Amino acid sequence: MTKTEMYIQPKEILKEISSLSEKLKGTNLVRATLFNLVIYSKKDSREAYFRKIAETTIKKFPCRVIFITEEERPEESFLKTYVTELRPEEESSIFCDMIHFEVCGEHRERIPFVVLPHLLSDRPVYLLRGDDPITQDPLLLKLEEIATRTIFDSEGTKNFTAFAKILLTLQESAHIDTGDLNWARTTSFRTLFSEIFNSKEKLSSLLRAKEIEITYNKINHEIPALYFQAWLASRLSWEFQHRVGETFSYLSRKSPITVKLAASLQESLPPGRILSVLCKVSEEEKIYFTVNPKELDSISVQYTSKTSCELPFLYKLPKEHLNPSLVHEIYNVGTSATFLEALKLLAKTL
Amino acid sequence: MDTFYNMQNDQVVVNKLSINPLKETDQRDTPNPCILVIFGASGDLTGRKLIPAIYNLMKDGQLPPHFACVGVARREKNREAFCKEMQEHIQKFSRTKATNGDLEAFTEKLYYYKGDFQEDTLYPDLEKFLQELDKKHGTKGNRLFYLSTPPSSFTPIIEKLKKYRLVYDISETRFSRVIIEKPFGHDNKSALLLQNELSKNLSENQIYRIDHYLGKETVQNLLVFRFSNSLFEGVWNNRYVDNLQISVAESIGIEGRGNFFEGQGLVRDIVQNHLMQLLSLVAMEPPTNLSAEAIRDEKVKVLQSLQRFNEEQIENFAVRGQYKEGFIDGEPVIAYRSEPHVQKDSQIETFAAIRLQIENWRWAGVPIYIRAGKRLPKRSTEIVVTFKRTPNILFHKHDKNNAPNQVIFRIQPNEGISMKFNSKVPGSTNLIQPVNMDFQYANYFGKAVPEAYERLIYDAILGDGTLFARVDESLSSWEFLTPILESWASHPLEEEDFYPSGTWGPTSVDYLLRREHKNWKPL
Repeated sequence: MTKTEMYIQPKEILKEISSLSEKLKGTNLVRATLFNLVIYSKKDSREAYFRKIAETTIKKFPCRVIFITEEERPEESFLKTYVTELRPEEESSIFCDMIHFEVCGEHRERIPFVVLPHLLSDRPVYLLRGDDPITQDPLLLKLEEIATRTIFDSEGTKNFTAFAKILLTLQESAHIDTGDLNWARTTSFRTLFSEIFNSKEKLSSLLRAKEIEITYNKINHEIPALYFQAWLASRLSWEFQHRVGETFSYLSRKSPITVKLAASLQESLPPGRILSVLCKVSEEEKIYFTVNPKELDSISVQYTSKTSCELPFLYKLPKEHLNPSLVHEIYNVGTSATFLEALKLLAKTL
Repeated sequence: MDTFYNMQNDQVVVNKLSINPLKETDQRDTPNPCILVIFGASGDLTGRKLIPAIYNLMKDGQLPPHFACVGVARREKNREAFCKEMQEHIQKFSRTKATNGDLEAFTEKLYYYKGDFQEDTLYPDLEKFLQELDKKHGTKGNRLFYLSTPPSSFTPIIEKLKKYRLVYDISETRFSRVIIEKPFGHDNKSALLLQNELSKNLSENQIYRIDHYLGKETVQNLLVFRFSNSLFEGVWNNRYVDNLQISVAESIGIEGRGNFFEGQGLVRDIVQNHLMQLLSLVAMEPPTNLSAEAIRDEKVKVLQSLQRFNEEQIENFAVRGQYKEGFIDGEPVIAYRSEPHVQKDSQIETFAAIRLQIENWRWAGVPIYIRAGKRLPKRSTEIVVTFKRTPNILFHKHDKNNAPNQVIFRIQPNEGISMKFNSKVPGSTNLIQPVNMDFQYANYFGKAVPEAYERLIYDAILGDGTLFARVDESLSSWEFLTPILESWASHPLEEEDFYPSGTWGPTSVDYLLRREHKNWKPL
């Protein structure tokens, strides 16, 4: 069936969902819906990325996906609708509904009205905003009103400082539960650090560090690296001094510490991904974390000091952190306090 | 407030950091490096359950990076053969698809050590071997011993582990823990004796009495269901609950375990552990917090509150049975007494049902019915809470379909929770039909839930005993059941105690409820 043949009127959505269920009767497939996931994306190169996110999400959490794509074509206006079924994996015994809205021009105003009847009323609604979060789009604001939680993608922003400030304002004034995919992307390194520096002895090394170098994949942006250094600084109570380019200076218990962000191009790896972290306590004492480019959930950890040079060991990250973007944000209730602390610090340092 | 020693400036820095400021509030503790040593590595449990569970833990990144697993058994084989054998088991029994890369990574941490655990000579040599592995894998001397052996070996193995310093004093910074498979004792005296022996060598928080039912998601969900939903806790008492039923039905027989089962029977195999654990979770009071001790404190109170039976009560309230030949899934099956390694006049029970009573403020007067059996029509484990009927004045008067409300926890299969309530049948009459509101794990969470052993092994590495039975739970359970077992042992089975395979047990089991105007909920 071509896409044009699939288009239906919005009023036919329920009928179409029922007919999809009918077709699957007797196949042992069951519809599974844990929550509603509303994704808004512009019709551009990032649309495919958001579709991928929807597919990844249902692998972990089956849900009803409402996917809105907005096209910008001068002098055109339309709202096209179709329904498909999504299956987490080929052999999976469950399926999920996916309702697609393609919108252009003044029809965009109809979006909240066509989305609302198709949200499963007893399930939470997660809104993923794939637009530039700093735009105060009235359509997105209306969708935010019906969302239990709004997840932004700071990758789409042109001004990260403005983004950080808007999120803080949203939290303080509107008390909207928020998350950011790029924050979620730092989950693996945050988990790793919390587990490696899990003893007083180990943490003491980190507290005595003079320099930390975070290398990230140069494609696109350094936001995960920025978040990671802000998280470290806020958790370890470092006092911000100044920033010169990609170097941040802090005071850690009256001792200076610098954090350098270094870019390295790794085209085969996800954009912005943190590739390695080097913690220099002194010239002799270093802790080095390196992501295995072939296996992103494996991180090699090596500790060297004046008296010992330990063999590097592989740290295997829990699988749930493998797709650490939206999936990880789903069950966060409220807005993470550590995320807000990092944002506050970033708002000062950027 | 915590104090960190600043080595560089050689001064004590007091700061306001918590113990680990990098840890999120909802983040679980990190499992410490360790070696897991499985005694009885050539047994069925190791290949079918333990190794696939450890493999999946590794695959999900749940094992500490510094980890190794050593299988100890008598059979002559080398590491390569053991690893190959275990790889085959993983391919057959793992809940996730085994990939070559993951299998290779797993077997890099897997070892075999040949030895007879009855012999003293095994232990010093094993200790040297483990020390070598400590150097190789950075496991820092931490040990978790899994005794997948006959219960008669528990005490001698633990004595030798202690004698040769493979288990340490609790005061040491490195840890040593021992997981013990069920059954924990044979009756109250033997359990107490076993405990006395164990406590000479281990402290209570080094002993992990495993009951794989407690690792099941639905069982863990009992606490969440009861104590995180305001809807139910208010009616979870004798004012509203009419009766509780717990059923553990198996369609399989003894699966060639004649020798084992002849020494056990169904009560020891299932009721003393699984059923009593389910009962304590469904009936316990809210714990003061979610720590292992607080939860187990409340669970044990339930078992301690069980009304103890005298001889007459045993006759009235306890039913046993043994399966005869019959049909399962339309196929003929043999009688218990015809199973290999079973005495032709065996008096062992393959079915048990008990009507019991919890004598506490919450449950006084609520009958509790438990049943478990082998060769029943299907495999099903359920907990059913049946609520009292509404007063007999409105709808009930007109329509006998007006059924009591029920909350049903399906432990296996089709894990989930159902609620039964009455609804009007559409139309002009006042007909009422009981309907179900159904929650199924698969519908909500889709993917296969982790195997019980995964969670339990992970918790043992972590040192979290919440999902393991504490000694007083085990002893209280025995204290209640031992008089019943002793009474049964002194009276041979009678003709009416035998039930055809493929039926729901002896006919007297229905009478347990019918005389109180109740029925078993069909499974």
